[in-house]
Amino acid sequence: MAGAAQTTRIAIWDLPTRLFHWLLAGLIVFAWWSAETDHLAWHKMAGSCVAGLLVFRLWWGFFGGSTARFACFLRGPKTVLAYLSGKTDKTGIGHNPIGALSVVALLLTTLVIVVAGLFAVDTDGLESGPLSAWVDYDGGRLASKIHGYAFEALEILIGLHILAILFYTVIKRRPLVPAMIHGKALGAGDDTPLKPGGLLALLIGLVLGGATAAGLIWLSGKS
Amino acid sequence: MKLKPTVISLGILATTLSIATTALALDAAAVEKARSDYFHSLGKASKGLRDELSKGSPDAAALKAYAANIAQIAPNLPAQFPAGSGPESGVKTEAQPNIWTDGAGFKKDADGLASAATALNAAAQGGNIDAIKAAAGNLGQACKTCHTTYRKEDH
Repeated sequence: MAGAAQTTRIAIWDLPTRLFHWLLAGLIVFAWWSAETDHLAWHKMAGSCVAGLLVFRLWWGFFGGSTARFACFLRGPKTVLAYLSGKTDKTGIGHNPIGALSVVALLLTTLVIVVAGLFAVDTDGLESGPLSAWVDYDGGRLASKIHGYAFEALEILIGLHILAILFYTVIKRRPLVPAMIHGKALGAGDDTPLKPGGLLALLIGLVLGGATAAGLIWLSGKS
Repeated sequence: MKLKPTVISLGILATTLSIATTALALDAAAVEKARSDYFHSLGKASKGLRDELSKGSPDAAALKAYAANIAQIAPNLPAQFPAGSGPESGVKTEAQPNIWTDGAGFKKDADGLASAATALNAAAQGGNIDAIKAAAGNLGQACKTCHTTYRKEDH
């Protein structure tokens, strides 16, 4: 780091946020593969785990580490436009204003997929989501279509996500993937450092997420 | 001998015309609508059975009614696929062309559904929940087997 006296490696992502990210990425790929290959029991298990991860992430977005909090990374349209036009490059550590929108879009779309999947009914009326008994056949078929279309939207969002990472890595020379692995990145010395989430908040989040996943896996096995 | 190709051509032309006339006579849109309604009723009955089975203590009378309904609907499947009602008719359908080009394979799968439905009905009238669950699983497998080969998935 010669000649960069004012830049130091600082922590930007806490461990729970990084684990959430990679577990989610892996489970989405597995869920896609298990659906394509008709392993519906595995698919439902993966979906249940994704639901648990989402519950954890929503909780962590309010009570987690500073860069994981929605209140910390969501900015108004003015800041987003200023960032896009290149007027402000300095946005502190964590998600930039556009990345923040991407995070919200990815989380919301995944949430739609999971919720629709809970109620989805296959065309034969037999393979169905764990809560499909709450809706009639037509409602379940509609949920199944939403489940499929929302996944197509997610595929596009994941594509944009990967393109953005490539753009930052190759053009802007800011490798984002290593930061999501070890949690550190080069930052200016005057950046507000990452404030990690509390242990109690972490435990509560784990219990909420774990209970969601376990409950849905149990329901899937029953039906 | 010189006439032969002409005779063959005429023969081909006549066959083409007769196929075209049949296709014209067939209201593919109406067939598709009836087909869609048919699978809708089959899916609805299957879901009803499945939901009943997933209850803590399924109602035997309800199971019997669903299974009898399925057994009644299932054998009518081949009738939903008259020649000329495939995607070549221009109607938007999930039916794949191989339903007609591989008629024997399709009939085998349709028969598989009919016998699975008959077995399910027998199990339901018998009243053993585990036997009904197993039979319902076989019915689902019969649906899946045919859909994999002959149905174009749209979500």
